[in-house]
Amino acid sequence: MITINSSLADFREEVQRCMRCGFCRALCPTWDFVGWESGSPRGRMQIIKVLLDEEVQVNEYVADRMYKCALCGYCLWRCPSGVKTTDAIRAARDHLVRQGYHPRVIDEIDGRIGENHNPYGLSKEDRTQWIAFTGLDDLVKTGKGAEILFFPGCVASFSSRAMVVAAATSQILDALGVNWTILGDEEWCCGNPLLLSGKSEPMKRVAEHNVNAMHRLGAKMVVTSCAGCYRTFTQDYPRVIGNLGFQVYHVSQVLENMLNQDKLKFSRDLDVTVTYHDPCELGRHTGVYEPPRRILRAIPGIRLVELPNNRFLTRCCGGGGILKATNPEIALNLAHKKLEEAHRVKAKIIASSCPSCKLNLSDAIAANEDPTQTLDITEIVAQAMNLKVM
Amino acid sequence: MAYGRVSEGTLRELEGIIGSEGVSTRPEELYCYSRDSTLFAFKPDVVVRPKSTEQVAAILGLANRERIPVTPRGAGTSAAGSPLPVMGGILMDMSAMNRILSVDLENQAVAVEAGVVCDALNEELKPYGFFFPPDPASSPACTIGGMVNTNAAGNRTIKYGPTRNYVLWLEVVLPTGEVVQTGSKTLKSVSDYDLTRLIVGSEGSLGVVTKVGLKIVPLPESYATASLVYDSIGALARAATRIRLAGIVPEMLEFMDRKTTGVAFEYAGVKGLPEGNLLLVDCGGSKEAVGAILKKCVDLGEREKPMHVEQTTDTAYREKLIMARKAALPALARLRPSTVMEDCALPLSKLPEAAAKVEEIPRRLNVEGLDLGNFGHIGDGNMHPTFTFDERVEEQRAAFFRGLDILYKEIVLPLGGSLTGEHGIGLIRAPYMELEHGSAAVELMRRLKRLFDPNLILNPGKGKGGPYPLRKGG
Repeated sequence: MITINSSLADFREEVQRCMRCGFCRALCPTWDFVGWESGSPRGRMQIIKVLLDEEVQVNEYVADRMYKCALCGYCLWRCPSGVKTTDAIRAARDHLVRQGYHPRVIDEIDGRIGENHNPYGLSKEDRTQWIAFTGLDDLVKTGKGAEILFFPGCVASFSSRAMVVAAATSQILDALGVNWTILGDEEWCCGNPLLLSGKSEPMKRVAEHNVNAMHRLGAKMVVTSCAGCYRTFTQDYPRVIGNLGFQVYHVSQVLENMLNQDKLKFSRDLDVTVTYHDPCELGRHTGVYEPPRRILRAIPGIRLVELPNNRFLTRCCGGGGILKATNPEIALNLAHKKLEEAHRVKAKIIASSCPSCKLNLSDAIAANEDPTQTLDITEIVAQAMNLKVM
Repeated sequence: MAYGRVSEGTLRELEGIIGSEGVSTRPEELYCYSRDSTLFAFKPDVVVRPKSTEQVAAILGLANRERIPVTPRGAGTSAAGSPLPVMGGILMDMSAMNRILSVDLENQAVAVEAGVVCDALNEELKPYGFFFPPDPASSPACTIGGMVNTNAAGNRTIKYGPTRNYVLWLEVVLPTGEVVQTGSKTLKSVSDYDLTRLIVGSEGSLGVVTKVGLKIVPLPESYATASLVYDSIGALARAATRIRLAGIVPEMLEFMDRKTTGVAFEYAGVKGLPEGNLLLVDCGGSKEAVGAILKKCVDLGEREKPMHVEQTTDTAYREKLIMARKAALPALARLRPSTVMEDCALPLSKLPEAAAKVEEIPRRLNVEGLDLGNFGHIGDGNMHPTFTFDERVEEQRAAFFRGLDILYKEIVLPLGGSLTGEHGIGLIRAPYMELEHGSAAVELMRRLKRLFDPNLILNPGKGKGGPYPLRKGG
């Protein structure tokens, strides 16, 4: 059985089952850039097979192919044979790390998470800087007992361009009268970058720390605005430490619930054409496709148009899979492609539900001086509620 | 005849033609390009990824001079071994030539490079209300060049016919390095020996197709789809015959046996249908007509007493059903570690008998771990018996090859069938060529091959040009 700690050898039967039909190549976002067969999901499975058969030893070329993958999960969803492609690639990355053939940037990220509990290497006290930065000192209460724990995640906590997501979520929760709190400097990186990069060994310690901290505050529900954290809490933590003892929701699910109960109301007409980009870790990885769409459709003046490839067919924007750290050019190119898709449907705003998607799309927008805007769903909801965020 | 080696000098020359970024001898690449979806593995000495006709011509000129084998490859989705470099040499990956050159709606035609992916072309045409009808199950990945070289057909063949019916003209680089254009941009032309049709289905043995002119047709206005589930394959086949003989031409008339339906539905998320053999009927046309056509099909199908009948006009559900059918082959890989698909064509009247005999093959082989699923295009007499087993177990691997002998020597050919409907001879069916065509016809094909390819450098060791049988690795 494949688990989060499975070694590459455990994937022998998985890669054997790949019968090379090539379905996975169709929309693989990174194969486009590599072109060679080894850069396709099918090719990666073949490389893992020859590694296991010891026809090839690990080397920089193998590492290049394994890390030129966004782990977006398109191939996993597309594979009729049910090959666990993304788990196999993650195991291959673990294998490469053990042999010392991984990109050096990963050591830096790992070191920062180990020391400072965030991938940016900033001090743990800086984790709550977003509160002052966004002017919410009176609103955000840290470390108090509450039923709902809001987990902003590292990107929205440390990146000045993504803090708006944490701020908007806070404003919305407050306006809805929810009893909530945050972990503050007791919040650690969820561990997602460790898993993606092939450094999965410290994962158990990270998961236990966060879950214990959440229990100490008496949280019955954890809400996150980050697709990566949501995926890690719902898919990976249970595989590492079993039942968490509380429910985890993405903020879009909470807002949809409020909408259904007629508690979420909008007072502004936004009069704009919006498209929604499914973050891989919220969509394909965890199946949350509709809540963000239902919210957007309920906002007055929003004309929601779908991208040509949407829901499980969504093309990764390049913000995930640690690709932005290991292969920034490909990550940026994928974001450009996403903008092209948005142009085709004449959207003025690309909405998403993940701070990492927002950052990567913002980079492409800035590089192109593109008139398209990218906003997190919480920013749009805050606007429609007439809340002033930042 | 001895072939030349890929030397350091050859590699430098190849790099001079297409740049070092288009040439690889990395062991990882050689391994990846040594496989298609068959059991076989043959490594090339070098892989090249040309981006223009001129580069293809220069590479072939070099290979012909040095007598180095060249094997062209589209997306490597072949189920016949056609793109495997049996003799080593140069593997020519055509997927970098992937531009759609023109969309000419007035003349209902497109011009594409050989590496354009089938579904990508149809995505491009969709906003115009047109499509390129041949629809192989591998359409998400397979290239137009590959489709031309196998005369690919697929699910919609009953109504629209195979790739051959849509190819207006071809740009082909001969093994000697000359570039020829076959056919015409006109819809009608008899001014040549029909070189286009000779190249279509030639499995890369006569020339490397670099550009293709294709006819396109308007998309149907709407669709209606029925799933009829039968307890026996015999009843299903009789129902298909009733529909066909009534003069109804659906978009698709497809089947999957019980085993295949189970795994394909599991993959596509189709729920609520009872376990059984599936007849999938898809009708297209005007909104007014399509429901009535489907009803006729269902009425005829019900005479064979299906266990379950379901009709839908829901686009999403229809797409799921079609996705399940297209994923039949790889979905069978959920059952056993190795999955190998066959491709026999039969006279329509013999299909029920053949299907029943095919179902018996695993019992006749009587080897634990080897089984068979069956599916295909029942509307045009083309089925894909698919062996599921573990190639690493010698007894099962040997039984698989005995199963091929039973399939072709004892079932397909005696019933007047053909070895392949749409996948090609490749490597896997090469040993049966003379049984179907006779030695004189095979010799004629060899002479034709030599006319195009005097040094036998292009895709040697298999297909229609021989020499064969050379089913190494089997």
